[in-house]
Amino acid sequence: MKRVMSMMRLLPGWMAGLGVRCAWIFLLLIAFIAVFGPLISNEKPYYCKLDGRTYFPLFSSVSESGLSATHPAHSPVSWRNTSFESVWRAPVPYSHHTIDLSSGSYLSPFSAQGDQYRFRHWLGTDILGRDVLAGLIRGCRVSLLIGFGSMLIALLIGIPLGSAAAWWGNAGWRITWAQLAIILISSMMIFLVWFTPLSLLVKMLTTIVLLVAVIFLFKKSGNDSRGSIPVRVDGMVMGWVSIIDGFPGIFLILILVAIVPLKGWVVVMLTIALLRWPSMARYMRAEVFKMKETNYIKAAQILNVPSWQILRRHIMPYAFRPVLISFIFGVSSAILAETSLSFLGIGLPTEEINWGRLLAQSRNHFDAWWLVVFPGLAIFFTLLSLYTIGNAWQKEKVDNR
Amino acid sequence: MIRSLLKRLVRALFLLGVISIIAFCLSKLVPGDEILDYLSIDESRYSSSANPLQHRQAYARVAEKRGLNLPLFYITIAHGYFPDSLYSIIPLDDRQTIKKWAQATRRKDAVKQLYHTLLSGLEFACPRADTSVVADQFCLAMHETLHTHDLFTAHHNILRLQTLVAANENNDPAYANLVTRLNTDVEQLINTKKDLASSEWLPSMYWHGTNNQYHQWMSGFISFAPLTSLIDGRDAWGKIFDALKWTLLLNGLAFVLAILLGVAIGVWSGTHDGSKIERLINLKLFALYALPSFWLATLFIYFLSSGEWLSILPAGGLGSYQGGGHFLEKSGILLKHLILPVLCLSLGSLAYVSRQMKQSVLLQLRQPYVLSLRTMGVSEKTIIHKHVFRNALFPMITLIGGALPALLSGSLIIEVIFSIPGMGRLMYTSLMARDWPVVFPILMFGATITVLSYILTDVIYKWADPRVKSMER
Repeated sequence: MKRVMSMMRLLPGWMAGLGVRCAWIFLLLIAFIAVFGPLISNEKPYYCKLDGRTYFPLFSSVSESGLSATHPAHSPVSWRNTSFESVWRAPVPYSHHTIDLSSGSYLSPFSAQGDQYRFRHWLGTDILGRDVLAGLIRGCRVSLLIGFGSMLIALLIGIPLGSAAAWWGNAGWRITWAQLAIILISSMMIFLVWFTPLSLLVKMLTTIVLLVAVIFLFKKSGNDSRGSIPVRVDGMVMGWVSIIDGFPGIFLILILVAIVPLKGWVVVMLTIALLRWPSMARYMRAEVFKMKETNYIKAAQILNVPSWQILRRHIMPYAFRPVLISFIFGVSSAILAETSLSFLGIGLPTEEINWGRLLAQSRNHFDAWWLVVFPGLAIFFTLLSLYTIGNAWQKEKVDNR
Repeated sequence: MIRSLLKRLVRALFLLGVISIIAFCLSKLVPGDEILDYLSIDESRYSSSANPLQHRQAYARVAEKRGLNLPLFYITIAHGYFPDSLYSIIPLDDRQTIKKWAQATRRKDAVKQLYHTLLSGLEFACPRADTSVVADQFCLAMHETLHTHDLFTAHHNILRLQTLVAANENNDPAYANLVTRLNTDVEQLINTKKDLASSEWLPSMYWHGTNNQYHQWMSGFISFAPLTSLIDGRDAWGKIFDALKWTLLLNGLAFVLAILLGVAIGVWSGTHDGSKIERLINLKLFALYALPSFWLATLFIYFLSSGEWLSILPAGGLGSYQGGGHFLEKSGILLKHLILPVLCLSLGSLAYVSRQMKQSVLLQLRQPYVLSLRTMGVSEKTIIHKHVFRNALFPMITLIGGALPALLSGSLIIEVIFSIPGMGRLMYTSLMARDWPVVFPILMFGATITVLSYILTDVIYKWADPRVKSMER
């Protein structure tokens, strides 16, 4: 235990105060539940014994109907009602999709729920009789996945673009006419290749070969400012940022969900990433702008260190912490966006249950206070933990200045 | 100054153009046939017509009327082995079928020939469909084949038709004729292989000039041509201004509340930094910031208006103020309905604004000029009110400028929860119904406001603080 606690010191901001520690513990708990959710809440038992034969239903593909076929005497087998010789169940013996017909819909946590203590719905049930606690456990997974996933993608897009925009500006990178011609011709070829009757593999290979060739040609030329045509890197990046900002988020999300042939949560994640990368790019741009004026970067420039190496070795390590702050705030806003969308019923498939969906159900049934309070508390504490951590980092940064 | 402003305006126009093109493309990518939506409005008696030919003719009329038979954009780039003028073929289902056939066989002339034979079959058989069984079957088979992407299934269809025509000998010989032609067309397409001509390897490009859908839409848009909503046939601009009214009222109130209270709390907590009450208040505000507005709204409705606990405030809507009554009475009812949504909207931003303001005040208090004022013996009150407060307000310009677009686009979730007919909900319902005549104006309006607000923020910032140089050079 002591070792675990000392390991926790590696977490940034852990030493800042009690609030931050609580926030970290809450977040780690949520992450643990997200990863091991199916082990914590599952209708299938870990282990059960029927007619002398042992099964591990949670870890294998044994189903109720499969057991009914092999043990006709017990048919129909149900995980809950069949009297197994011995059985180990998950702490919460319901999956998020389990419809508990015996207890019925809208069961209050305090109401009488039959005699079986083990099968009590601690946090009540929703309209279909699904366990709210199981739904909350399922919700951790979706929320954290979308929150962190989308911000990671946004980070991967935003950091290179933002730092490039600040580093080269509108005149820092000059290319020669020959290079311009190469770019134009190769992009034209990449575009046209996709309209020829070649097979998909050949098209992809040609595209990759052309891209690699262009990158190689540019890397070989080395110096950024040899040519006569300035590349408006800043103008282009900030142009895209303005364009993304100009779109209402709801337009993009509804249309992309209709167009993109991927799973609902992937589309939601990608769309949130698409909407969030501009803020990361802006943040990074401001950081690099500040850093460009420092003496050690100027010294590196005078020593003729290549631009991308300055960016990678000298700027990125220092810009990383400030960017992490905006990352953590970004995660909280991505989680907020995901729960809002689920609350409205957009994006994720309707049978999927998560925090926003549970909260939305309370609107049809105002007596069900447990559908308002528990998912809301889950969202609230997750956001609060993220804010607390971000805030502590920010304070650290201000104090160090 | 003027020159840089003009430059930025031109850039803003360019960006708006790009936004409109992207939005247009995205709307065209949405699965489903837009013309069918219009068909049910313009010529509703043909929308589910049993006779394929009549349906197609109505479809063509609607497409012509709405300008949807035009090519999409100024240029079209297509595979070289696609038939020419593919972009002008309607219905869109036919276009899809022809694409599939061409992809499978890569023979554009034969595909085109088969398509034309099928069309002539349709034109020949369908007007007589009520009178004879063969014509009926024939017409249906033509229609079906035009929707069959797989050529072998199409061939099978035609063979079945051939036996049918052969069985009824007392028919017009034209049927037998048509069927034979069809059969040869399909078999030629399926059986004989042909290498691609060199010209078919390269993509073909067509230039349409201004006679395209995007141009027509954009020029109509710029000249404020009347647009009618697909849902209820009302004028789209009227709908938007109705919604805008409510959104402005709701968000404006929330915004003013958040800014005024936030600035006040921020200045107070900045000057009383570290005191016990300040820490307590800030802790509360911090928690408020993490509170999702939709949860707050649900809680408010649950505790204050559902009757479970209290029922003192209305749960949603805007009240039936349309009826008679004194002006004060009407606005009283309206205000009562606005209290909860305004609270939900402003509480979160209040926390944010007060935080920003506090940081800004603290930063200003550390500046040398404050020290010099203090050594001059200026009272603390004057320093705060006259010097620190003014300087600390600068970051608010960015904040207000950034909030301007959100102010007009409305907050969907609060509008949905409290059932207020604002911009967010209008956008959402129109998008769900694919009501593009309403969606596009809202989108372009919002984009314009966003792009302009950047310029405005920059200009005001420069005007307020001449030391600031624009980051853009």
